[in-house]
Amino acid sequence: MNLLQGWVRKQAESRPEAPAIVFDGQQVTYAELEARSNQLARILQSKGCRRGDRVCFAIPKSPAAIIALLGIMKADCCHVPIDTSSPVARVTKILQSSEPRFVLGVDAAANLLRQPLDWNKRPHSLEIGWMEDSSAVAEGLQAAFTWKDLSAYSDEPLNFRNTASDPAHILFTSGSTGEPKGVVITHSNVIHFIEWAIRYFAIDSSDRLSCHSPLHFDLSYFDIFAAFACGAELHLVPPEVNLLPNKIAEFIRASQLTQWFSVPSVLSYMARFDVVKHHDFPHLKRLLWCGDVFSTGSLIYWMKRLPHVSFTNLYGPTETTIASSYYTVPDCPANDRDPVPIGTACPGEELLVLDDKLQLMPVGQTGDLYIRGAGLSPGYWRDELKTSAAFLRGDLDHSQRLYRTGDLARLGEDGLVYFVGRSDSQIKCRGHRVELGEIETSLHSLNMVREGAVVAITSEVFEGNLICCAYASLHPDRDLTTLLRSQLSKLLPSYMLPSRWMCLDRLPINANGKVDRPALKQLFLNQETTTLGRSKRRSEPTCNSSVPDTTRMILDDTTTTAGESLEGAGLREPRSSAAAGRLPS
Amino acid sequence: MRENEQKRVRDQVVSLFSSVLHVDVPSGGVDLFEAGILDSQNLVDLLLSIEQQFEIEILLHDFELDNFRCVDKITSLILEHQAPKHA
Repeated sequence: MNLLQGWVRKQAESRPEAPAIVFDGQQVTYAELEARSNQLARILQSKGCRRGDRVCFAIPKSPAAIIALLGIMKADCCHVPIDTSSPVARVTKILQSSEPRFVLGVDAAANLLRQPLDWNKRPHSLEIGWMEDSSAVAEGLQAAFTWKDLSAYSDEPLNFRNTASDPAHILFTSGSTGEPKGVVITHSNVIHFIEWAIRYFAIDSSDRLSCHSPLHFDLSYFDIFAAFACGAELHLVPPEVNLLPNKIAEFIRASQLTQWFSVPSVLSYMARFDVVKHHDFPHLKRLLWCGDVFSTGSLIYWMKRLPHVSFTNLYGPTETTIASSYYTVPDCPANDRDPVPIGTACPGEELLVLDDKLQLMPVGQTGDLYIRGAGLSPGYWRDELKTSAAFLRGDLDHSQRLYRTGDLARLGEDGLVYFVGRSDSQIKCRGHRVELGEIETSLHSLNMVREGAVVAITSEVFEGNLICCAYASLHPDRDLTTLLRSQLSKLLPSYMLPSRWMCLDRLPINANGKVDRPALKQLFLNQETTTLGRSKRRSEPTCNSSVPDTTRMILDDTTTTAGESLEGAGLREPRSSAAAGRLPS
Repeated sequence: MRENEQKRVRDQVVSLFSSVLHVDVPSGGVDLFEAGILDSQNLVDLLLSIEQQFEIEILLHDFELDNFRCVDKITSLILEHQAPKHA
């Protein structure tokens, strides 16, 4: 296969009536997916889209969104997914940077698009397509076509001018200077990963794969194209399902999924609330995660509950396409302090732990993690400076580009690579990649604080990072937290908003006169402990059923020490009477 | 009496939104999910603070989105859980 859309055509020819996408009670067959995306490609071409043009789409996860991304690629264009939960200011930046020829939208995104795409202000070359039949487009958006216009165009296959090395999409991620940066990903980058993954995981047409990640997140390309390459069913997880752990479990059960792929925070959330029964999800074969460190304690919970399932950790930044290394956990770890490695490089990729002279670090020693191989992006969209800073030509072998991940890692005696931490202020928060610098830049741009700093702490309650913001108000004695949060929400997506705040007279300063970030982190850690302490005291007297279950599950976990049993780790069997009420029926 | 209790609980819920989640809730009927006020992380923050403040136990079978959709629904959920104590 040399272009991603080729897989859909192949399935449409061999198994036209097989379901390709399942969502909210609807099914879209491979024949329909092929036909609609062919029509969309033709309409885009007829309206002036040319090879290499960018086409943005602001469509919540749905069959229309998948048809959009396929149709855009079939028009030899490059698609740019826009997170419809992002604020207008951020969407505007992405539109300005990607300079699309077209923007595809739906009613749910009308308010988001109205301001940046105001007819009177937008460049004449930029047009709008509406993937619904709707009147909402009339108000200031003036679409060049709507969904019903597709039927006038041929649904026959097209001939493509693009080649495997052309960009398939640009994914915008958090940028430390406050500007989102676009990672350009080619067709061959994705195809290389998918071809390995379907072989390794033995995915076939009988599979039902989850599509859990949002479409602006590169993990979703694994779900989408692994399903299409194999003629499997792609089950789109509605965003509302994510809010409650029992709903996610019900979704996996009801959809009879064979593969679940998500970020660790979701899996930990489900473990916390103990929503997985023993031998639950009988159809499930594989559980995969990527995007963050999955705590071994939660992994043990999952592996004990689902002995029939294989568990694989995938690792890789967006710049190296979906994942560059993998580790399938052979046995349930004995100890919840045992780290889960990021494993070994996928075929065609290399993970190198190097020193600052780009020489290999000895086994066991921590160094900077670099990746090279078939997944490497050509670079950042229209940003030579950032591209040359992150994509190097290494001393090891000048013929190949190296991507500096910013992650710290070590090579273990066992030949596996272990993630150690970050070398900069990028963090992962619930699987999202966040540059703390971007939040700080936005905070200062509000001109409401005298000083402000953003740090991340590891939460004991929620596994993973918590974003914390400390500030000194311009107006003494005035707590601006609610106002600041509300103003920041107009600039940043919700996953980047700090969840812990502190209003101080002045920020702690180190010997060099800079904000003392370690001290600041400690202040937030103390605040967390105090909050926890209050909850804990409530549970001390009897530890009986009067203690709220959810609180108990969470508090129990914070008392875990090495070598403790599962029961002590809070990952124990739910206690009898309350347990019955806790499990979903 | 019942109305007073309802108002008292609702005011406390609104102040939890402000003190724990740092958001102002415009009115009791606003859809917190549609408005983007609640997501999976701050839902847990809210849940814990409700359990703590009202000394109630929210069980998994109460985990329905509709129970948390707006301040009024959250108020009803809390009152339901408090009911046996005050009976």
